[in-house]
Formats: sequence, structure tokens, C-alpha cells
Amino acid sequence: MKSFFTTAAATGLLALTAAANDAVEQKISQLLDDPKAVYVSLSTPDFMSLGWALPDGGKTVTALALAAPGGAFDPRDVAKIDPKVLGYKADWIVERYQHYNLDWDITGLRLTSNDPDAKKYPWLIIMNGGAANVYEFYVDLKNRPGWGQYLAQKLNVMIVTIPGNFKYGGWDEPVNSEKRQPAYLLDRELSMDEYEIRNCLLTNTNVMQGLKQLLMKNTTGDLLLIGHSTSGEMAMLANNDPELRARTNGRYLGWGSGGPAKLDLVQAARAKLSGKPAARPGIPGFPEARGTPAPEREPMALHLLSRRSKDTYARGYSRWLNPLYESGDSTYDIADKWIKAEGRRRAQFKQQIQSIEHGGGIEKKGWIEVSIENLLKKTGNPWGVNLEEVSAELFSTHYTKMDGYKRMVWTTAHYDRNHWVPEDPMKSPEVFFATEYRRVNPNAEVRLINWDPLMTHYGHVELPKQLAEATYSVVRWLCR
Amino acid sequence: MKLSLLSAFAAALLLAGRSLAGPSIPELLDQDKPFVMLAETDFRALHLTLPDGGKHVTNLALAAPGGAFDPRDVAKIDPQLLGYKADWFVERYTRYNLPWDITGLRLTSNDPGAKNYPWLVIMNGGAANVYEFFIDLKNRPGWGQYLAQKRNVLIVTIPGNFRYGGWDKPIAERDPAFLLDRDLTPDEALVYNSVFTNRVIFQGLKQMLMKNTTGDLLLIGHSTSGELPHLAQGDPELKARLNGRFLGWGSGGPVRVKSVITAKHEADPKYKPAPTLTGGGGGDDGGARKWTEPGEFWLNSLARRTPAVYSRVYSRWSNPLYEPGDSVLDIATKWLDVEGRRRANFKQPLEDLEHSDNFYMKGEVEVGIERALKKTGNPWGVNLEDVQKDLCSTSFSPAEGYRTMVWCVGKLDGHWNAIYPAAGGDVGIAAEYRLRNPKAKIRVIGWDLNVTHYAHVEVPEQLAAAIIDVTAWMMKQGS
Repeated sequence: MKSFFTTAAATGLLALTAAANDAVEQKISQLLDDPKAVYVSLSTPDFMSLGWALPDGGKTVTALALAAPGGAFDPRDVAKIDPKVLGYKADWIVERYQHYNLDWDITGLRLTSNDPDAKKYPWLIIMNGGAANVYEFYVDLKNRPGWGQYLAQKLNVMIVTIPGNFKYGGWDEPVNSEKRQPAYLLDRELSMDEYEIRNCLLTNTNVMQGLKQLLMKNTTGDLLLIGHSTSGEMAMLANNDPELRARTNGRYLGWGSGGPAKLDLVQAARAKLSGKPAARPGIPGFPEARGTPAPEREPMALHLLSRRSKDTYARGYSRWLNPLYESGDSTYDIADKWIKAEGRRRAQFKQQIQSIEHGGGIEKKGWIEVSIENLLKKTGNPWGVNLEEVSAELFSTHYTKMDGYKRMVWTTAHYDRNHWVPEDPMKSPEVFFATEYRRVNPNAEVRLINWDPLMTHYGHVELPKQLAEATYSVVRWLCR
Repeated sequence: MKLSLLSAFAAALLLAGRSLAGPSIPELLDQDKPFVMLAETDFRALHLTLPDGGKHVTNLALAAPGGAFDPRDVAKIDPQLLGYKADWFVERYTRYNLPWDITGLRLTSNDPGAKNYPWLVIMNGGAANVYEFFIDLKNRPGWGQYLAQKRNVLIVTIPGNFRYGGWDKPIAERDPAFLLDRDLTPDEALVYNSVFTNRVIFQGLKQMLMKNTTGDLLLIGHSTSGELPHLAQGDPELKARLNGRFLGWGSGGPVRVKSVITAKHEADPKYKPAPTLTGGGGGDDGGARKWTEPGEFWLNSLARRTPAVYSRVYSRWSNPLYEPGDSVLDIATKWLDVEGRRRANFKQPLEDLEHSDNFYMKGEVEVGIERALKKTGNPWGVNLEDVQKDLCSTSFSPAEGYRTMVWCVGKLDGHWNAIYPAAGGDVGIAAEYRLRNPKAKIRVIGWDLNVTHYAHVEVPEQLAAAIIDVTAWMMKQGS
């Protein structure tokens, strides 16, 4: 009897939740339907009501992660779990490709949804930003279910890790150790000389080649490319590629993605021409806009990695929705716990070439070429890297095509301050980017929706469940 | 007998047109050195003759207002009188949904040996055109006429810089003649000038070459057009016809290589720029130029040639208009006066900007073009996306695949350093190409006399003979 009531209560709760979800999804759709709004926002209560359950509550994957040192479980083990338990079939894919006469490995965790309706929608491709990898899109910082797991209940999902950022078992070396280097090849370690030259050669065109191979070989049909953070460039670069352009089919979906680097220079030009200061107001203690020149700072050698620290992560990335936050924690405390908790499985480094190409510093092209030339000379270039090939591809991010879109949606978090300015939303970078794309694609439906909770750039580890349904609603609007 | 032998030797030297004070051009080029110089005496001894002494063309020029004779009339002159057959070509092509005209004066040499050498394709720099490569400032025979006695030559004028009959309007008010059959409206001029990329020029150049020449090519891009041969190296069809060869005359290097050199200098705490005799180039303020100062339509604000600009380093004592007592400003004033009609005497900022290290301005250029399109309503359907992908192509020129490269430079040219020749601009550029083409024969040869960037109007006969020697040496290096 008790069981009956419990079941009935649970069923009723599910029904109520479903009804609430439908209402919020409708609300998201209505918000996105507004052609006049520069941006729209979904309220916190609405956002927080979103989310659906996982068949096993996520416990099987969590157990896998908890059993692995530093949570660095082997994604191949996920593929062994019964899809019925997960809600999707998992496959781990490693694609090796050649660029600049060197081999590179790019990985994808493919989650093919059990939901038969998933095939009505594009593959959702999530690409990590500079210092992250598959893990934070699949489990949260406490190894609970992550964004990808929730998304895969309704959509076919592939989580791509860019070359170098995933390593089986994670890294033994501390984040600040020079010995902690990207795992460009998953089956062997490299010499320091080779790491250093590869760190300079991780251009966006290089990553793009691997991404394309991964997608063309392991997915079919339409695509929605979500490039998080630095990988925001990838989705834009795909628009230059005829085969991928055909499969993105005029659609774009951003999450903490921003715009292509080429628009940084356009933004600066518009500001100069109007005599007004740069669009984004300065925020004390917060990182400068990307690409902001720092002439007073001695440039770091190109082959050195930018390494994550609690200082940098305390600034804007560690706030109160972080799973590791506890009452009384300062943002430094949160960042410290985060860097420690993710010290093994997360890359925690970024190649400078990635950052430079993602910013407006195209005047550095000569310096980049000379840096690579010097390294090749120093090492004797046993790999046969041709500097000419590298030179031809530098700053591809400044040549992304902006036309050909039919529907675009940028999604942002209220406290993602590199993308949203809550004090003055009209000065948000994403407002600028969306406006630029509206200009080039006047017949397209170009939208910007902000999630109102105090999520940061890392909302996918803060509120993955809710973010998944919010994203799903946006995908449905994009494909309606 | 002894006297007779000596006389015969002297006669042979005279016949060869040489009384050598030092090594000959081939001997100099055989030396694998950062640079070599041809002695003034030897340069001045170089000699070529024209069948009619050049008088038919001179008469044609003298009869035309401002010397702006119709090149089609040259094509009517008997080739036996000229030493070559002249043909005038206008190629129309489309880029950015706009039609463009590019012109070529083709001089097919009467010398049967010419076909053993590549076509010499001369492309004017920013503010010039065909005339100064065909006749001098006094309408006497020019560089191209001399060259065509021994080589097949094509003198290309970039779009906008040639106009039938020249320009009536003063330099400060004239517009480029992007189309030869009609003048542009002010709105059209605004947009054409705003999208005048090196890619636009290159497309026309390629069409001109593919339709009107066959076989190997040597592309001589003078001054701003120094970018074009390097862009050609990135084009599979033209690269095949360049066959690993490069010949520069006042050409410098592509922006891509210049930015590498700048980066190396910046990284070297010991680097100090060497003092120069000229104090820099003769262009439009170089790095100090305030490109956007003219306002939102700055891309339409052409650099107009003035005596002040041309007196800096371009007007010196080998100029045909120089007379004893003239200041450099006097020379420049006379120059712009006599060339006021037939020479364009303007240059588009975009062409210039792409030729200097201004990659960082890509965004400003895009916004500038956008403004121009918005102002005019863009009835032509110019797609900014098409233009933006072409911008700063000069920062991506390939720098390998060469087998023989020769830069030729005048001693007073900004591409040379008369005080510290080893620190000369073209010497530095050649060094970069050596790094990238270690098996290639890469040479820089300076003419050791007081000639400038415009030596082709100062000493055209000798320069032509020198270039013929250089090309002969290049061909002996094989391909």
C-alpha cells in the first residue's frame, strides 16, 4: 500500500515536473521568438525548475569516477555500461590525424541517446575550452552527473576534447610543473623538444582538421557545434568548411562561446570610429577583455603553457553555484578546491597559440613565425615541420565567414563576465557578437538568451541538469 | 703586331660595350655573398641600341598632350622600327561583383633569342603606370623599349592607374580609372578605392598573363607591386611558370617576411637600426602614417603625389629633369609637372596598408568598407564577406619553392643602405629567403651609382642591359 502511494506520488511529481518543464520550454520558445529583442532572459525560478532524471540517477558513472584516482576514469569503461542504465550508448573514439607532418590525437565521447526522437535533432557537439576536457562536460566537480549525461537523455551528443587535453589516467605532475605537458598522442609520451614545438603548432586550423575528421567519421546528419570558451572559434571556422557548413545547415548554438577573433578588431574599430570607449566597462579585479594588449608585460615564450591557478580561477570562474562551494568560502577557497579536485584529470593548461589566435593580436604573426623558426632550428626539426604550412594557417580565426546563417542562438550565464555584463547587459560581448551577425545575416533569426541564475562561465558544472534542459529547449527552437 | 693585338682586344671590349673596372654582372652573381655591387663605371658602360633610336615612340609622346599617347598607336608602328612588336591589352574581370580593367603593353622582341628567356613582366608601383617603364620623363626611350630588344616584355598597369589621354583634373582631385570605357560616379569611386586589395590586382594580373603570354615568367613588381610576384608564388598555375625564379627591381619583400624581420629585431636587445643616407623610404610616412585620420571614408582618401613627397628620396641627380643648381624639390616639382597628366600620381590606402605591416588594422578596414557600402546603398551587391577573406593576403605569401632569386637595387633607393650596405632592406629580405630556400641561389646586386628607386627613368638603357645580363645569368642556373 505504502509502495502504491509512493509510486503514485512519484508519478504525480514526474507529471507535475513534466508540465512545468513544458511550460518553461514554451516560455523559452516564446522568448526566442521575439525578433525585436536584442537579448532575452529566463528567470531564475524558471531555470531552476528545469531538468530531468537519469535512469540510474547517474550513479554508475559516478561510481566509476569515484573509483579512479583523481576521478580520471577511463572513458572506455563508460562504453562498457549497459545503455539502458545510462539512457544512451557511450562510445569512446580516438581519431589520429596528421598536420604539419606530425600525428595528433583528438578524442570524442559519443553518447547516442536511447530516445528515438533524438535522431530528429542535430548531433550536439560540445568542444572544450582551452584548459578543460571531456570530464567537466560529463561529470561535475563531485563526479555527479554532468551536462552531457543529461543532454544525452534527449539528444545525440558528442563531447570532443581538443588534442593534448585528455590523458588516460590524467596527469601525475602538478599543474605548475613544466613536466606536465599536453598528451598530443595517447599511446606515448613525447620528448620535451617535441612538446615544445607542438605547443606552438596547436593552431585552430590544426584542431579543426581533427574535429572535422572526428565528425565526418563518427556522426551523420545535421550538427550543432557548441564551442565553449576558446573553442568558440571552432564553430565559426566550421562555417568556412563546405562539408561542415552543409551539415550545420545555417544553425549556430553558443554556450560561453563569444564570437570569432576577427570581430575583436571590428569592435575596436567601431569604438574608435564612434569616439566612444570599448563596449565592455572595466570591472575591477576582473580579467581584461581577450586580446587586450599588455605591453608592459614581457611576452612569454610561445612554447610555454599558460597554467591554471587559483588566482586566475578565483577572479570570475569560482562563484557560489560551484559544487565545491561551502558557506563561508571565499572565491579563492572555491578556486583552490576546484584546482585541487580537478588536478589530475583536467588539463589545466592552455597553449598560447590558442589564446593568441582567439584574440585580436594578429600583429604577433611575425613573432609567432620567428618563435617556431627558432625552435625548429634549436631542435634540428627531426619531424620535418614546414614553417610555410604553419604560416599559411595562422590567424584563420580572423577569416571566418559570417554569412549563411538562418538561425543562431547564443546562450550565456548571468555571471559569465567575459560574455555577459549584468550591470549593463547592452555592453555584453555577446550582444555585440549577435548584433554583428544580425548585420551580416539580416534574414536570419539571431537570438541571445541569458540564463538568470548566478552561474558563471562554468555553468555546465554548476547547474548541469537545468542547463541541459534549457539547452534542449533552445535546440528544439533552432530545429522547429 | 703587339700593338695590333692590343688594338684588337680594345676593339673587342668596345664592341662588347664594356670597359670593366671590376667583375661583370655574371661574375658578381656567381659569388654567394649577402650582396654584391656593380661598379659605376661598369654600369655606365652597359649599352643597348634601338633600331630607330626610339624616335617614333618619342614623336608619338611629344605629339600627345602631357605625353599621354595612346598605347594602341604604338601597336601600329612597324616592329622593324621598334625592335619589337607592340600590342595593347585591356583585360576586364570581375571581383567583389565589380568589373575591373587591367592593362598590358606587350612587347614581343624581334630577337629570336628572346623566346629562350622568360617573359619579363613589369608591374608598376602604387602611383605610376605603363608610361614610366616605356619612356623616360623627357619622352626618350624608356626601360621597356630597351629590354624588348632582347627579351619579351609585358608592362602591366594595375587597375585604375592608366587612363586614355591621361587625367585632366589636378592630382588632388582625380579618380582612378578602374574602367577604361567610362568614368566612375563618386559613389563608385568610393567603393572601388575601398576594396582595392592586392587580391583584386592579382586576379587581373593572372588573367592578363594566362591569356597573353606563354611559357616561363619573371615577374618584376616595382615598389608596392613587389607583393605581386610573391602572391603569384602561392598560385599553382603561376608558380609553375615562375619555375622557382624571382627577379626584383626596387621590389623589397612581402609584408609577411618584413614582419618576421621586425619580430627578429624586436627580440634582439642589441639591435639598432643602421643609419641610412636617405633617412627612410619615399612613401607616405611609413609607420607613422595616420591611416584613419581622414575620417570614416579614409579608404577613399588617396595618397596624392606632391613635390614634397617626391623630393624626399625619389628625386636626385640622375633624374632626366635635373639641371645643375636644382634642389631636390626643384626636381620633384618638375617631375610632377611633366607627369601631371599621364601618370596616376595617387595611391589607394588599402593597397599601401597591405604592403606595410598593418595586419592589425583588418577590423578597421572591414568597418571602413562597410561604411562605404552603407553610404552608397551598395547597388552593386558587393559582399563584405568576399572582401574580408582577401584582406592582408600579403601577410601570407609563401616564401619557399625558389631556386634562383635576384634583387636588383639602386644605391639611393630606400631598399638599399648606401652607408651600411649589409644592413640594406633587400639584403635582409634576401637573407630570410636564404633561410627558407637553403639550396637556392639567392643574390642581391646593387648598382653602385647615384640612382634612386626610379632608376628606370634615370638610366633606362643601362638598367635594361644590366637586367638582361641578370636574366641571362638566372637562366644559366637552370630550373
